[in-house]
Amino acid sequence: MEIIVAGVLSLNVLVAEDNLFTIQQYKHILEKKGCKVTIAHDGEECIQKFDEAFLLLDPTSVESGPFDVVLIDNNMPKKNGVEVVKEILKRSPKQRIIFASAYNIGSILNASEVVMNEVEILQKPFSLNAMIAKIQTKK
Amino acid sequence: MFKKTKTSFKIGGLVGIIILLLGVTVMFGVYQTSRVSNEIIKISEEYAPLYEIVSEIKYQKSNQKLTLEKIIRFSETNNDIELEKTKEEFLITGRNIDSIIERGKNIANVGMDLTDSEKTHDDFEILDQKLSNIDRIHNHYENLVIDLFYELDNVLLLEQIQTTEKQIEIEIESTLSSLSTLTEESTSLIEYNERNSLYGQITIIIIVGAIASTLGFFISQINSDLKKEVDLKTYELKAANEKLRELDKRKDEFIGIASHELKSPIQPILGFAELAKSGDIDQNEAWDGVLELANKLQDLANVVLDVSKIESNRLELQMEKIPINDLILEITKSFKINLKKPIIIKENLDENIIVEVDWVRIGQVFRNLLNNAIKFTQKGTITIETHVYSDENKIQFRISDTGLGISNEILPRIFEKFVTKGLKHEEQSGTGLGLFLCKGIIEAHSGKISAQNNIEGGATFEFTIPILNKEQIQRPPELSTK
Repeated sequence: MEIIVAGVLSLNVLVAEDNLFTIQQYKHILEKKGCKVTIAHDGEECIQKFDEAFLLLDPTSVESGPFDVVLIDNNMPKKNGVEVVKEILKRSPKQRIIFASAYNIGSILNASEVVMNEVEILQKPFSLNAMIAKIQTKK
Repeated sequence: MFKKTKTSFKIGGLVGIIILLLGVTVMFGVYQTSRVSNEIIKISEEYAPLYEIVSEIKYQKSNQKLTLEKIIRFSETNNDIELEKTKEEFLITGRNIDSIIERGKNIANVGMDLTDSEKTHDDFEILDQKLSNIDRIHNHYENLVIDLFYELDNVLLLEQIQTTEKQIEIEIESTLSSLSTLTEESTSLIEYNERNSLYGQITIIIIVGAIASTLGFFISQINSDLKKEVDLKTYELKAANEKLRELDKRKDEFIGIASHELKSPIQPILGFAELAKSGDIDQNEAWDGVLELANKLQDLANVVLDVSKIESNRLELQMEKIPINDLILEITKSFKINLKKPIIIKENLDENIIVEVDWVRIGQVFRNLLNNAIKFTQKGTITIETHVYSDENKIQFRISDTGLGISNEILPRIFEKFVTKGLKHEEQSGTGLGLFLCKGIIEAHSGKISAQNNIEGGATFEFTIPILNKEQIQRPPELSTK
C-alpha cells in the first residue's frame, strides 16, 4: 500500500454525485489539492464523461482508464452506481474506482455481481479529509 | 390426504346414521307388532276358556235334561228310591251349572278389565250379559222343575219346562256362536295389525331412506359449499398474502429510501462544517447550506409524522374561510420563481369563491402535486384549473402536465403508501408518501382525489372539495384570472 503525503495531488478525478452541495464540496477540496475535477450529476452523464475521456486515450492506457480515480455515488438518477461501475469496468478493467454510498455497500455489490476487489469502498457519511486520504492511498 | 379422511368420515357418519335409523325402525316395528299381537292373543286366550265353559254348560244342561226324563219315568213306574236319587242328581247338576256360569262371568269380567279397546270391552260385556241370561233362565228352569217334583203329572208345567229348556239351548247356541265370531275377529285383528305394522315398517323405511337421501344431498351440498368457501378463503388468503408481500417489499423500499433521505443530508452537513472550520468556505455560506439541509430533514420527519396521523385518523384540520384563488396564485408564484426547467405554469381559475378549508394542508396538497408535475416534466406546460359546481356544492381542482405520465403498473395504486418509481433507474425518486398524504388530506376534507394519464401525454391529478353552504359562493374579487 502506497501512502502519498498530503500536498498537491495533481490527479485527474471524475466525480459522479447528484447532491449539489456535495458536488461543490468535493470540487472545492479536490481542486484545492491540485486535482482536475470532472463532474457528472447522474449515472448516464458519468458514463458519457468517461467515454469522452476514453476516446482521447492513448491505446496503451485503455486498460487503466482515462482517470486516475472515478468517485461514484451509488444512489444517482438515471443509472445507479453499480451499473455505472459495470459499464466503466467493461471499457477499462483496471480503472481505479472509489464507490461511495450511504447504503450497505457490501450487500449492494454482492447482489450485483461486482467483485468487491475491483472497487474501493467509502461508506457515507465520511469527512472530506477521509476522502482525500482514501484518494491518496492507492491499493 | 386430509381431505380424503374428512370425506371418509362424513360418508361413514352418514352410513352410521342410516343404519341406526333403520335399526330403530325395525325394532320399533317388532315392538309394536309384538305389543299389539300379545294383547290380542291374551284377549283371544280369554275367549277359548269361555267357549269351553259355555260348551260345558251345554253338556251339563243336556245331562240335566236326561235326568229330568229319568225322574218322570221313575215317577210313572213308582220307583221311589231311584226317583229320589235322580232328583238329587238333577239338583247337583244344577249347582254345577251355576258354578260354571259364575266362572264364565268371572272370565268375562277379567277380559273387560284386561283390554284397552272399547270394542273388546263391549264384547266381553255382551258375553257377560249372555251368561247372566243363561243363569237367569237356568234358575227359572230349576224353579219350574222343583215345582214339578210336587205334581209330576202337571202337563202344563212340563210344557213350560220344555219351553224354558229350548230358551236355554237357544241362548247357549247364541253365546257359542258369538264366541266363535269373536275368536275369528281377534284372529283377523292380529292379521290386520301385523299387516298394518308391516305397512308401517315399510313406510318408515321409505321415510328413513328419503331422510337419508336428503341428508346425503344436504351433506354433499354442505360439502360443496364448504369446498367453495375454502377455495374462496384460500384465494382471499393468497391475495392477502400477495398484498402483504407487496406491502413488505414497498416497506423495504421505503426504508431504503427513507434511510437514504435521512443519511444524504448528513454528508454535505459534515462537508460544510469541515470546510467552514478549515476556512475553505465562508461561514455564512456553510450555515445557509446546513440550514437548507436541516429543513429537508425536517420536511421528511413531518411527512412521516403526517402519515402516522392519517393512518390513525388523528389528522386535525384548522378550518378557515379563504378565497381559494388567492391561495393557488400565491403558491404558483413561488414555484414560478424557483423553476429551473423550461416549464410554463398556467392558471385557469373559476370564480374566486370563499371556501372553508385547512389552507396549510390544502397548500401542502398543491405543492406536492406541483412538485410531482415539475419532477416528471422536462419541459412543457403545467396547468392548474378550478371549476366551481354550484349545483353539486363542490369545487374541482385539476393539475395537468405534459410530462412522462404515470406507468400503468403504478397508476391503480398511486395513492397507496410507499408507491414510488424507485431509486435505481429513475430520476424521479421519492419517499412514496406524498400522494398518500394528499389523499389523506383531501379525504379529511370530505373530498375525492384521482389521477389519470392524458391522451396527448402527461398526467392529470384531480380533486374535489365540498362547499358547505351555497352562501359561501361569492362573486370573485379582482384577483381571479379568468
